[in-house]
Amino acid sequence: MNRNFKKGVKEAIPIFLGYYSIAMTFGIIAKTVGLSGVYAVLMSMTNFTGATQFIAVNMVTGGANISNILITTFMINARYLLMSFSFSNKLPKNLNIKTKLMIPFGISDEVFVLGMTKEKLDINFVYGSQAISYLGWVTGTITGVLLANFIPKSISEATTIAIYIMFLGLLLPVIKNSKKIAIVTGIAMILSSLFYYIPILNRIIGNWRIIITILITSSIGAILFPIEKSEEML
Amino acid sequence: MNRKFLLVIIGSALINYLLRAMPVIFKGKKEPSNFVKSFLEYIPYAALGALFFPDILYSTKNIFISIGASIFAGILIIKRQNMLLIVIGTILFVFLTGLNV
Repeated sequence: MNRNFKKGVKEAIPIFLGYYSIAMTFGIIAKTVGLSGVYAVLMSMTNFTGATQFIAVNMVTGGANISNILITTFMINARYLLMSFSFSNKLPKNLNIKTKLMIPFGISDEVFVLGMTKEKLDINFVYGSQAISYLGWVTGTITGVLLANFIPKSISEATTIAIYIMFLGLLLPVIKNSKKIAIVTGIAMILSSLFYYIPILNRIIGNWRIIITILITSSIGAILFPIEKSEEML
Repeated sequence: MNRKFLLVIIGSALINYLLRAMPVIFKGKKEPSNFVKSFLEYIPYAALGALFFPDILYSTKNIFISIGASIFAGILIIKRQNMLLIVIGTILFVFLTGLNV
């Protein structure tokens, strides 16, 4: 097997471990809130995204309509436009069309971060890192779906909070390190609450609460607290 | 619900792939403005914040259990424990505190 491919696999082993664990949680949560285990695995296989898979499950069980969920997914993942842009700048020029179609599928958050630590990217290295990461994500989901069968019925009622804990797990580590993101997240929570509790707003905005909150909050953030070059992740 | 789930899976798979693939297939030269970059980078956190609160309060049968569970999980998260264990632990926390209510 190609040497660079093996190097990619080796360097992405930490990603495999992280993904396996998070995907297992995804599989367990999806099953315990009543969704099909097969579909959960299918989602991991076709989407290969982290937070948005949890968010999608949350919105489906919350009764949001499909266009709402897809618009939210689009917004949250619009950042991949920038990430792919930066990532592809490190790839060799003149890739063949098959490569151009295959590589983007595997540009997940952690694969992106690993790629950005390199000056230039070798195609086989990228494939290697993507393969092992994808393997972790899918097998983790399968494991979680299977394990969920062993959760006693009595505990099932208590699992509804699990998704929100995942959200907290995604937020807290970042908030700890970035005051700007902490403020923006706080604004989002306040707006979301206003649209939820104030009757007139709730009636007018209804299902669009999340989307409108995201748009307003991100705009406020981008205008008042623009992210400096040094703080950039993208 | 599962039918909706399937449609969401297919729709989001397409959306995610296109978002990731467009910049690779149509290599652009111009870098987007700072405003656009900041805007896009903030979106996930705005989304997580909006989805998390106030909805988490009503995710268990009692608001105080939800608050307690959040603090419990929050402390463990800050202490960088494994997320799967934290989720399992919080589920048990909710289950046990719910027994008396």
